[in-house]
Amino acid sequence: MSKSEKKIVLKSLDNEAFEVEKAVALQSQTIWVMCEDKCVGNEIPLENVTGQILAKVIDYCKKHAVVDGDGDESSEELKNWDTEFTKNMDQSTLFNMILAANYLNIKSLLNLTCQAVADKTKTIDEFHTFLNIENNFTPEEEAQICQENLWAFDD
Amino acid sequence: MAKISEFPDDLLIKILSFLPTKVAVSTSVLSKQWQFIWMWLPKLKFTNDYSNPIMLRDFISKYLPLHRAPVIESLHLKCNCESTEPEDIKQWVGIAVSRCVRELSIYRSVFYNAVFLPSSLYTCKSLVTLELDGNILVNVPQMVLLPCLKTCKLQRVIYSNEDSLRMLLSHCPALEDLTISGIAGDNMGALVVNVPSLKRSSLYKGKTCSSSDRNVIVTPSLKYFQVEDYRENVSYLIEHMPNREEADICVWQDIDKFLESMTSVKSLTLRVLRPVYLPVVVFNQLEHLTLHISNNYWSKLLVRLLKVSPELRVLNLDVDV
Repeated sequence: MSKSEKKIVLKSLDNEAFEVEKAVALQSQTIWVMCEDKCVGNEIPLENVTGQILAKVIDYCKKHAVVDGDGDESSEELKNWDTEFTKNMDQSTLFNMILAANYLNIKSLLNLTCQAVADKTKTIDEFHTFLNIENNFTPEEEAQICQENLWAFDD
Repeated sequence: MAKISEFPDDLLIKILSFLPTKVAVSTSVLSKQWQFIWMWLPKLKFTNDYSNPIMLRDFISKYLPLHRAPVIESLHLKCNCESTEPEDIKQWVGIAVSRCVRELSIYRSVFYNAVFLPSSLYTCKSLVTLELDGNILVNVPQMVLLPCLKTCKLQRVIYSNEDSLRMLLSHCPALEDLTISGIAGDNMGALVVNVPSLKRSSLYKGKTCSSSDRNVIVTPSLKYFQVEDYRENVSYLIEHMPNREEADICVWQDIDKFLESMTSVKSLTLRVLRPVYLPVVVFNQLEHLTLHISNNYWSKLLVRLLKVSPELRVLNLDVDV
């Protein structure tokens, strides 16, 4: 295999191009399927992901491609890296990362980002504020739901 | 900018699946979009820690039959109160089995009536992990086959007859990890563990458990083995385990048979309850040895073990206080 065949170009929604090792990109099942499909050349258009988010996804995939296959020592390090990776992401970045991980079908990244949202939302108030969910129930409807699911609202 | 209201339901379910079930259910009050999302959760953990057990019982009875997830990947039940009848739990387990449950865990306090499990559980093709703890009757029917079961933990349960455990274990062809903890009056009978696929095993029998002279351990693939048996009148038949790497042994009777079966062990922990006569064996691969010192029987054993362990690198002497 020549050097160029080991590389692949990922093109974002806003036309930003990223040249990455194939082993890095193939952690995405979606890209893997596209590569299997002979119709696609060396450049893969990703119509649902912006360059800013794609850069982060590639960081994640690079880190995980490097460490996979090493010993147990690095799995602890990798876990710490994952925690740091999502720790300071704002709501908008996290949402876009979830959507990107889902579209690109990278299971471990999807789990990591969904876990990060769950970690920030432990109460109903936190759900409303962090996820920006508008309550469209009437007070009566809300009271009825609480009554029907008493166990969940008993502190 | 991405809004959560534009997320597909399966992503919302995914986020909820990382929360405790109780918090996930409370999201029903967030908005109309979220009201029924929790009903698709594939993993359910119902526990009466920090919550009212009667409310919990009412909730499970009402909603589990209506749960929408086509597959219940895991169901954890710890619902102990006067009003949770054994029949309730039997019904809930039946629902989980009909939804291809992969992981089932039940804890039942000894203060409440014994739980009977539905016979459908014993032929559940999807079950990978089974953990039963407490006042639960293991009533293995004639038809039993758990083809995918890999992990089985039976702690402080009771058995409907002395053949139940053997029957169950002999129909788990994929079993790799087994924990059995006996109690007095559990009707377990002899401990017969004949499981060729088993890799890890932990067995516990207290001093007051009924004695038996027909205990059999045939586990050729075992890598990790832990046994604590404080009974005085028992005997074991143990087949050699060529792959065993780690063992932790504390037995009143037959310690020589256990040691003979494990000459390939790399890490060995021993608690000696009475004088031990080391069989004529060499531990060619033993690298780590831990000996618990709680009486006068250990020093002679240590001298002999050192003589027959040419590869020993680490020796720990633990003083039990």
